[in-house]
Amino acid sequence: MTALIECIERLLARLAIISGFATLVIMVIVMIDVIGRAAFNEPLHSGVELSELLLVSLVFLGLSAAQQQRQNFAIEIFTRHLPIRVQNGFEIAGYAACLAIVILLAWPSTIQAISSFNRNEMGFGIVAFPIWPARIVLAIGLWLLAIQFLCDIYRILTGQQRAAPGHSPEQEIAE
Amino acid sequence: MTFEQLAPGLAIIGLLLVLLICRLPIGFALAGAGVIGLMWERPWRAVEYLLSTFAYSTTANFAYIVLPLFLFMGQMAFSAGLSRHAFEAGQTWLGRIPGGLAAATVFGCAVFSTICGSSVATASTMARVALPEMLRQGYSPRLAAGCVAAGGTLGVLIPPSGILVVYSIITEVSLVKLFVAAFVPGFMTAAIYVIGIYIWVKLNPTLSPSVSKANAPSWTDRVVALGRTWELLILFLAVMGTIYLGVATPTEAAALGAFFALLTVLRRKGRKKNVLQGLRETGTATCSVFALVIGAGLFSLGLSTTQLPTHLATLVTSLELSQTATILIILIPYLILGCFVDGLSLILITMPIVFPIVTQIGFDTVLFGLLVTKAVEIGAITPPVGLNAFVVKSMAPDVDLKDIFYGCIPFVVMEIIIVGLLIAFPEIALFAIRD
Repeated sequence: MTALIECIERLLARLAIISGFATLVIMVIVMIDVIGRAAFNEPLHSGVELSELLLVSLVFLGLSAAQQQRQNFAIEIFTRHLPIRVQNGFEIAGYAACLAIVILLAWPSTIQAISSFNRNEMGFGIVAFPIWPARIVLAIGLWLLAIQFLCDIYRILTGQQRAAPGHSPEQEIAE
Repeated sequence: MTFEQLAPGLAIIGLLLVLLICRLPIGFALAGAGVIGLMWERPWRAVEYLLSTFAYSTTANFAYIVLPLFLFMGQMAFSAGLSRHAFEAGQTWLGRIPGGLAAATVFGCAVFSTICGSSVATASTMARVALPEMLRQGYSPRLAAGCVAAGGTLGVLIPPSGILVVYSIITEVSLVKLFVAAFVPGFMTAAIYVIGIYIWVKLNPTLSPSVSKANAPSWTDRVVALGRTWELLILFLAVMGTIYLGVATPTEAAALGAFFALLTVLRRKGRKKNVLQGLRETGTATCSVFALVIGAGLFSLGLSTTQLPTHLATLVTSLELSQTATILIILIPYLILGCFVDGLSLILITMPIVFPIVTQIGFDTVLFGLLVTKAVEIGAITPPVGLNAFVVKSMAPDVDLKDIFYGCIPFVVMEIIIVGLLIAFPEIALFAIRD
C-alpha cells in the first residue's frame, strides 16, 4: 500500500513539473501576440483563450503537488504546542474536511465537464475556441487533489508522514 | 437592524475561525465556510450549479496570468543574483554616510523591488548579499538584520507587487492604477528608511563602525557600479516603464519582464537548474495563491448571500464617523491579525467583509489597497510570525531572532508614520492617477 501511495505521489509531483512549463508557454504566447501586433498589426488569434486554458492547467494540475509539499498556507500557531497525538487528530479531521470540500467542487465540475464536452462548448472570441478541454483538466485536477488528501490521511493514520519541507527562502519566495 | 439579521453571517465567520484554528489550509477553510453559508441560504440545485462553474470562471481569466508571469520574473531575478549589483551600487554611493551599508541595503531592496513583487524574495536575496557584508564590517546585528527584514517589505510596496495583484483580482480595482499610485509611496518609504537609519545611527553611534577616510570610492567607481545595474534597468523599463507610459498592459509587461529575466539567468552558470527550479516554484506558488483566491471567492459569495457585508456597511455608515476614523478602525485590526496570518491570506480573508464598507463610505479604493498592503507588511516584521524576520534568521543563523525583531522596531515606527502621512495627504499616492 505504501509503495502505491509513493508511486501516486511521484506521479502527481511529475505532473506539477509539466504544469510549471505552462508559465513558459504563456510567456511565449503573450510575447508573440505583442510582437505580432506591434510589428505586423496582426495579433495572435486565440492567444487569449489558449493562455486561459494554460492557466487553468497550470493551477489545477499543480494543486495536488502544492498540497503534497505543504505549500497551502495554514495557521499553525494555535495547535503547534499541543501533543503530537492531538496534532495528528486535528490534521486528520482537517484533511477529511478538505477532502469533503474538494469532492463537493469536483463532482459538479465533472458533470459540467461532461456536459460541456457533449455540447462542444465554445468561447465567443473571434475564433471559436473550445472551452471543454479546460473544464476537463479542471475536473481531473480536483480529483487528483482529492487523491492527494487521501494519501495524506493514510500517511498520518499509519504514522508515515513525509518530513515537513524545510522552509527554505526559495520555497517561500512566492509568499 | 437586529441581531437575527446579522446572525447567519456571523455564524459563517465563526465557522471560518473554527476551521482555521483546526489548521485547515486557509484556502480550503474559506471555501468550506463559504459553501456551507451558500447551502444554508440557497437551495442545493442553485449551489450545485455555482460550484460546477465557479472554479473555472475564477481561474480562466486572461488578466490573471500576470500572477505566474510576475512570480517567474521575480524567481529569475532572484536566481540571477541581480540584487548584488543594486547593493554594490548603493554601497559606492551611500557607503560613506553613517550607517551607510544599511542605507545601501535599503537602496538595493528598493531597486530590486522594481522588478520583484515579493517581500520574502527581496528580504532573502538581500540577506544573502548585504547581511554578511554588514556583519563583517562590524554593524550591530540589530541594525543589519532589521534593515534587511524591513527593506524586504519594499518588495510588495514598490510595484510590481504580488499583494496588489491579488488585491486587484479580489476587489476588481484597476491594477494599472494600483501600480502607478504605489510608486511614489514605495520610494518614499525607502527614503524614510534611509533617513531613519541615519538618525538611529547618529543617536547610537555604536550601531555601525566609523567611516574610515581610506578607500573612498572615486566617481569613476560610482559610475561603473551604477552601470553594472544595467540588467535591472532594462527589466524595470520593460516592465514598469511600459506600464507607466501606458504602452503595455500589466499582462504584456509581465511577459516581457519574465522573458528578459529569463535571459539574465540564461547568461549565467547553473542556468538549467535555476530555470527548472524557477518554473517549479512558480507553479506551486501560483497553485497555492489560486487555491486561496477560489476559496476567498466562495467565502465572499457565502457571506454576501447572508447580507452581512451590506448590513455591516450600513451599520458603520450610520455611526457617522469621519472617513479617516473609519479607515483607522478598519486598519488597526490588520496590524494585530498580521502577527498571525501572512499578508496575502489576510487580505483574501478580510476583503469580503471590509471592502463593502470602504466603498460605502466613499474612500478611495486604490489608496485603501496601498494602506492595507502597508498594514499587512508590518505584520511581516513583527513577532510571532513575521515572515521576513524568519527569512533573515534562516539566512543568518548566528543572529538572534530577538535581535532581528528588536532591529525591526524602528522600522515599524517609520511604517506607522508613513501610513499616517498617506492618510493625511492621500495626494502623495493619488496625484499620479488623477485624470
